[in-house]
Amino acid sequence: MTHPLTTAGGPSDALHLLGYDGRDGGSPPGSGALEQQRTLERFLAGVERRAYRMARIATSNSDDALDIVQDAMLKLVEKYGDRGEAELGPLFHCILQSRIRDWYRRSSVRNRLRSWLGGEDDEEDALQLVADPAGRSPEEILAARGGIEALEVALTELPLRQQQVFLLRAWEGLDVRDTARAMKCAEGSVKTHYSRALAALRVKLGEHWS
Amino acid sequence: MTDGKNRLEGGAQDADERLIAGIRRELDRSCDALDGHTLSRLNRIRHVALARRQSRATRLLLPFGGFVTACVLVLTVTLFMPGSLTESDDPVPPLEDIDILASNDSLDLYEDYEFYEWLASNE
Repeated sequence: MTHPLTTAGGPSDALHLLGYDGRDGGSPPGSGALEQQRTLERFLAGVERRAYRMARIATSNSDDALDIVQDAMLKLVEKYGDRGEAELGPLFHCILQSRIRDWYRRSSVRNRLRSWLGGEDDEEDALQLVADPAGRSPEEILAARGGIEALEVALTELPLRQQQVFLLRAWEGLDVRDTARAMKCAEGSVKTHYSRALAALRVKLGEHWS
Repeated sequence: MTDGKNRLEGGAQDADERLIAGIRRELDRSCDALDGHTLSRLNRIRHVALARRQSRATRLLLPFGGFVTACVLVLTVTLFMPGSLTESDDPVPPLEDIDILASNDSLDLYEDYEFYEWLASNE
């Protein structure tokens, strides 16, 4: 699996941050630090969209997902900014998964408190209660919209660990060991989560992609 | 029997691989289709992270730079400023002159010492 590490903003903005425009042709002063800055920028630009999508699938909330990605990037740069490109991926996913777990814990506590303080809080989003004008069932909507919507629903319905293990292994291409490190669990658990996730997705999405 | 089982397993594996490839493709496509607002925020987040690293590096170097500057300043003042220690007009008298300064005799005696010595030799 290849993921093109493309920068979104054209020429390296990190160079401008350092006040170097590269017009003199030779090595700039402190070129080691500059090279590391470039490596970091390349890595972050390459991983940011996928990190956001992973966090978005875990939280079902865009703002929370962006906060998680921001925390992970800041932490990576602050603590491991001097590491080589090969190490950055597993380290970044360790941090990202840790932030996702934190978010999950916080929101569980918040939901529990809300249910204690406010009683039964079963208010649903009003928009979700509006019937489809064409009178289609959710399954029909999914079938009509196809791919990504069905996939998002299927992934969101997976337990968090299965969901994230599957994304790390199948999408990010992490091996079992690095996935176990990122998820802070045993390698055997990674294999179990992955095969269960795959089985569930096979049932839900088989008709779309098999 | 075994062949049939293997073929069945192989078929299931192929189906899984197709499924995974499809999921991967769809997720990649969803990344490419992110809206402008999200992309702009991601871009800003990245720049904030990189800028913070830069400012941290500067902050770490600042005390070292200050120390070096202070050393250079002290050296410059010591070596090149007029009235520095390298010149001989030190206001502190040398040790051999302490006896003269401390004695009760008039300083005139010491100033005309050679004359008195000559006078004594001619008497």
